[in-house]
Amino acid sequence: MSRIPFYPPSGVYSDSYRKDMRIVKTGKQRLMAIAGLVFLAALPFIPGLNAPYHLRLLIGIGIAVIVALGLNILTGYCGQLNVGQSAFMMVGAFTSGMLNAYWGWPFWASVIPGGLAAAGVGVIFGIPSVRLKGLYLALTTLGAQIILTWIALYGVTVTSAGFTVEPVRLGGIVFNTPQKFYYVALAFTLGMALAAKNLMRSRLGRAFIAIRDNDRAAEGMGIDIFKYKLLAFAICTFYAGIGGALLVHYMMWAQLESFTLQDSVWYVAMIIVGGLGSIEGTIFGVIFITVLKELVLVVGPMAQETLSFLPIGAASGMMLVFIGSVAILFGVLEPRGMAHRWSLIKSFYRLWPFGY
Amino acid sequence: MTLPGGDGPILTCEGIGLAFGRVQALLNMSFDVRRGEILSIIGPNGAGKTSVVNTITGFYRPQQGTIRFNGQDITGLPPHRVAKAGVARTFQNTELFAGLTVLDNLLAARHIFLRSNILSCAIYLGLAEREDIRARQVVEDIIDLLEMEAIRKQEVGTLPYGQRKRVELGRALALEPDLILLDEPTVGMNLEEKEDMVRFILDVSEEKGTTIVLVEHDMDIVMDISDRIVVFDFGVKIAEGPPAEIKKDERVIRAYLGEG
Repeated sequence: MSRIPFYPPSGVYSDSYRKDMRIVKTGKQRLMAIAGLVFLAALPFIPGLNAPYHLRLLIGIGIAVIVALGLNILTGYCGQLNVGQSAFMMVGAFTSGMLNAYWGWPFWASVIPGGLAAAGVGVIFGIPSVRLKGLYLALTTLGAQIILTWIALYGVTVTSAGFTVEPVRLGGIVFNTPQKFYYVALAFTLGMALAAKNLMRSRLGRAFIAIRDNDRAAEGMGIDIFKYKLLAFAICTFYAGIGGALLVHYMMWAQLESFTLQDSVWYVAMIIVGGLGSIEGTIFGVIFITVLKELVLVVGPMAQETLSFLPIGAASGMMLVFIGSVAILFGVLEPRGMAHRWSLIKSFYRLWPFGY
Repeated sequence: MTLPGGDGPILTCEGIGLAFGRVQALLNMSFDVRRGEILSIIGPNGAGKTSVVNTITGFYRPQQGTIRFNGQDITGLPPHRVAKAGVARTFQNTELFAGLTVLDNLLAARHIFLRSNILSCAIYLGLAEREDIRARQVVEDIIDLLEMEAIRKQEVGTLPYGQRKRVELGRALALEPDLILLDEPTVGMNLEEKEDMVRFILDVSEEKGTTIVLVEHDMDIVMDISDRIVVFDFGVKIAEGPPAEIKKDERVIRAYLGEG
C-alpha cells in the first residue's frame, strides 16, 4: 500500500499549504483532467465508441466503480474485510426501487433513501467489528450476504419475484436508453469518486488509515475506533446502496439475481487488483475485471467453436479459470495493485530521460 | 511555563492495583507527577513500568486505586478519552501508522481538534480545507522543532528506526498534551541518536512546558535530565526522589543499579 511520494516537476513549487494539498497540482495535470472530462462527456457522440454495447459496458463500469469505491474505503483504507458488498447493494436497490414502484417516488427522491437504508443495515452488520478482525469479520459479512438474500427471497414477496421500476426522469428527459443513462451514471460516478477522494484526504480518511495501520496507536491518539469503524461501514454500504439504486433504475427492473455472493467476491477482486487504499486504483481495477469478464464472454464461445473436439462448455468454463489465474498472478506480481504501477509510470514520465 | 511543583500535582496515582490472573503487575502503587517536571520511572525488567504507562493511558483497567489528571478522575476511561483529556504517549515498540507520511501521522493526531463532519469532508473545499490548513500549521511547527523537514512527505514505514522514534514523539506532541508519557524513547539507538532525542525531550519540556514522564533504561540519561525519579521493583514502588538521592539509595542499588 505504500505510495511513491509525489515530487512535482522542477519549477512547480507549493508556496502555501493550500497549494500543497491540492489534488491537481500542475498545469499539465489540469489540462489532462479537462481533456478527460470532455472526452467522457462527448463519448456517446463519437462514432465507433457509441455503440449501445460499449455504453452498456461503461454504465456497468460506472455503477461498479461506485460500489467498489465504498468497499475500498472500508477494506482498503479502514482495513475491515467485507465479502457481502452486493447484499448491501441489494438493500439500496430494493429500497429505492420499491419507493419508486409502490409509492411513486421519483429516482432523485429515492436514491438517497436507498443509500441510507443500505448504510443503516451496514452499520448493524458492522457492530461485530468492535471485537472481530480479519477473517473473522469477513465471516460476519458473509453472514450478512446470506441473511439479507434470505430475507429478500422468503421474507418479502415483491423482492423475491422482482418488479419493474420507472426510468430516471429529469425535466422532460427520460433516461431510458444507454445513451441517455450514460450521463446519469457518469455524473454519479464522478461525484462519488470525488467525494471519496475528499473524504480520504480529510480527518476521516486519516482516522480510517490510522485504524487500519495500528488500532492501538489510533486509540492512544484520541480516535474512537468503534465509532470510526462503524462510520467506515456506513460509508461503504452507503456507496453500495447508491450503486444498487442506480442499477435498478437503469435496468428498470429489480431482481434478486443481480446481487449474488459471486458479485461480492468480484468487488473484492476489483479492489485488490486495482490497489487497496487507492481511489484511482479502484477505477482501474473495476475496468480491468469488467473488461476481462466481457472478453471471456466473447472469446469463450469462439474458442468452443474452434476447438470443437472439447466437450460442450469446457472452453467457456476454462475462461473462468483464466480470470481466476489473472487475479492470482496480480497477487503475486503486483500485490500493491494497478495503482502502484500507475504511480511508477507517472514517476517514470516525470523523470524521463534521467530515470536515475 | 509553570514552575515544577507550582500548582500541585498534574497527575496523581493512588493505590493502583493491577493483576493479570494471579500475576500481580502493580501493587498499591502511589505516586504524583508535578506540573512541568521531568519524572523518570526506572526499574528492572518486569518491574511494571510499561504497565503503569498503559494503566494511566487507559489501555489497562486497574482493579484498585484511582488516577486523577488535572483534577479529573480518569481511572478506567478508554484510551481515546484519556488522550482527549490531555495525556499523550509513545510506545515501547514504535507504533506508527506505517502507510501514512510523517505529515499525515502528525495530522492524524490532530483528529481531536478537528470538527468538520462527514458532509464537509466529502465536499472538502471550505470548512474541511480551512481546518486542515490550520492543523498543518501546528504540525509544521512540530516538524520544525523536531527537525523533520526533510522527511515530512516520506511514508514512515520506509524510515530508519531512530527517525521513527522521533516521528512518534512528534505525533504525541500534535495532541498538544499537558502530560507526555515516553516509554523508552531511546531504546535501540546509537549515542548520537540518543543525544538528539534527549535534546528534543528537553526542548519540549522547556519550550512547551509539557510535563514529561520518562520510562528509560539508560541511567546516564535518567540521572542527567530527571527532576525526580521513581523506582519500581516487582510492581512495587521502592524509592522516590531527586537523582542524587536515588543514586545513594540502598534498596535501589540492590534491586537495580548494582554496586560500584
